[in-house]
Amino acid sequence: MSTPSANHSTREQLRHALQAVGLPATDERVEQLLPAYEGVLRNGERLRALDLGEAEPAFIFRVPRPE
Amino acid sequence: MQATQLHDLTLSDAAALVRARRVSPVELTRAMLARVERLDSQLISYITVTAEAALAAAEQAEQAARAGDERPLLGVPLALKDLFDTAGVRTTGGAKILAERVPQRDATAVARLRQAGAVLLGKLNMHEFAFGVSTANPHFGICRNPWDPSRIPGGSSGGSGAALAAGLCFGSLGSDTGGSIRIPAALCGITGLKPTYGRVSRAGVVPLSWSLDHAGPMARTVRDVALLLTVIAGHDPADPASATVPVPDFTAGLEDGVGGLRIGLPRAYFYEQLEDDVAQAVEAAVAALRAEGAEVREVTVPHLDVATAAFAPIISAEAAAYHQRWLRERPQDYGEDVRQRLSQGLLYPAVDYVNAQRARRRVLDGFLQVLSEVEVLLTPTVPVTAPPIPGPAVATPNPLTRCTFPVNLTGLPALSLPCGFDRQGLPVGLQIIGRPFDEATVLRVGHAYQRLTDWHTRRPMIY
Repeated sequence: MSTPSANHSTREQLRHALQAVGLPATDERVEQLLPAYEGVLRNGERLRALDLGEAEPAFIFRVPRPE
Repeated sequence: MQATQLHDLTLSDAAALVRARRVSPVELTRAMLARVERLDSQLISYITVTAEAALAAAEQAEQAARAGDERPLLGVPLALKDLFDTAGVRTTGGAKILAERVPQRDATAVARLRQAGAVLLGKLNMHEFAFGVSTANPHFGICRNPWDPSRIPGGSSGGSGAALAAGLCFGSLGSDTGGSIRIPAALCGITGLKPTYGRVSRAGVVPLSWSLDHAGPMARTVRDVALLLTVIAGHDPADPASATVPVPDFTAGLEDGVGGLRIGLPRAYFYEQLEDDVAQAVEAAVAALRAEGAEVREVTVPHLDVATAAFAPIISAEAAAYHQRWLRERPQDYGEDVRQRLSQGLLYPAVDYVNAQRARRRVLDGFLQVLSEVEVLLTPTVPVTAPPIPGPAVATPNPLTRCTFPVNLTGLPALSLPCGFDRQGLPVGLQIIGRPFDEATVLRVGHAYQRLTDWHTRRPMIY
């Protein structure tokens, strides 16, 4: 469970993130997006916990063959 | 043929009757337009009806039929999800932001339908920018399920599902990024195919998530879907993801049956959290195919535990990249649910997106491993039947996409077809997942099932 200070920290993180991408960072907007942002953070933790080994991304760039 | 019977034809039968000059494209089109006028105010499945253009095209098709034209969709009235560009006809993406947008060119798939002789009735309602599963569209109206108008038709191709179930068109195109063809197919009791990624061109289709978007056919039967796929599939240089694989006649092998075919049941994950009636209907479908000679075995798809972690950053970040300018300049013009989802997409760190794409490869490898042992997988399409409007809340994990979104990560072909009803009379969908570019086997299994059952012939009361 988040502590109040962790929540405050997450809110401020979100505020900075919204400002960084040019979205309004009003108190109302922060509260609206807080659950979604916590979802982003949790998802990041899940991804970091995976052992992806040498797996390359599924969007490997290929140079087109000449016609 | 009596006008009251025309809308009950399958797409394939209508096409055959036009070619045989036993039914008039103008009669077909007028019958459909009359039904749209009479019934659609209750469903809001259409955004734009192009009655004049449809009748003009039908007249041309009639003359062509008299001259012996045998194109496969000649004179057959179709309607398209309003995500597909149609030259000279507004294409809104279900969005206020695009409400006045009129493309100059058809999407490639649309052009191929027209080249095959199809008549276009209009553009169908959808979830705003395809980023949701309810089709409770705040700008163009809440689309309703013909089986129970207090419930959602699913989405995002909800207008296509509703229009087909209510007999307001003979076929449609939809798009599927996390289930948006298959979910409305299941909830509306019709048939829809998400083809292999790259099988059908996405050129001229408003994107949601470039690496997850698939365009595909929707209709009332597997045969109809197979016919539409044959017309629209094939390489398109305008789509960088377009595959250069040959396009067979997908209707050709439909009658081959399922004798000796190996069918896998991935019970872990796909058969969990099901409503009782959904579980019962799907089990009955499995039994029916087993009785027809299919070899059915339980399988386990590895790495499904990473699918959720992989899917969310990919769809959200790709969608946000497309929308970022509008999000900054016109946030008030989005529906609240879509604005939230897109805003979330802007917040994913780049490294999460890259790792999600690496995890995606694991999910694909897991499916391919299992599909080396069986030809197809059978699962429910949706764990539940149609929820009441307005559908699932934004913030919760979405139960409607549970069985569909993992397949989008893989790009594998997947069909949804009706397999029964729950005790409230709501449709249940069966999902058939196949090997890369093996739509033929997927369709063959689906058709074999539709020969054994009549779920796909049932009609809602509004019909």
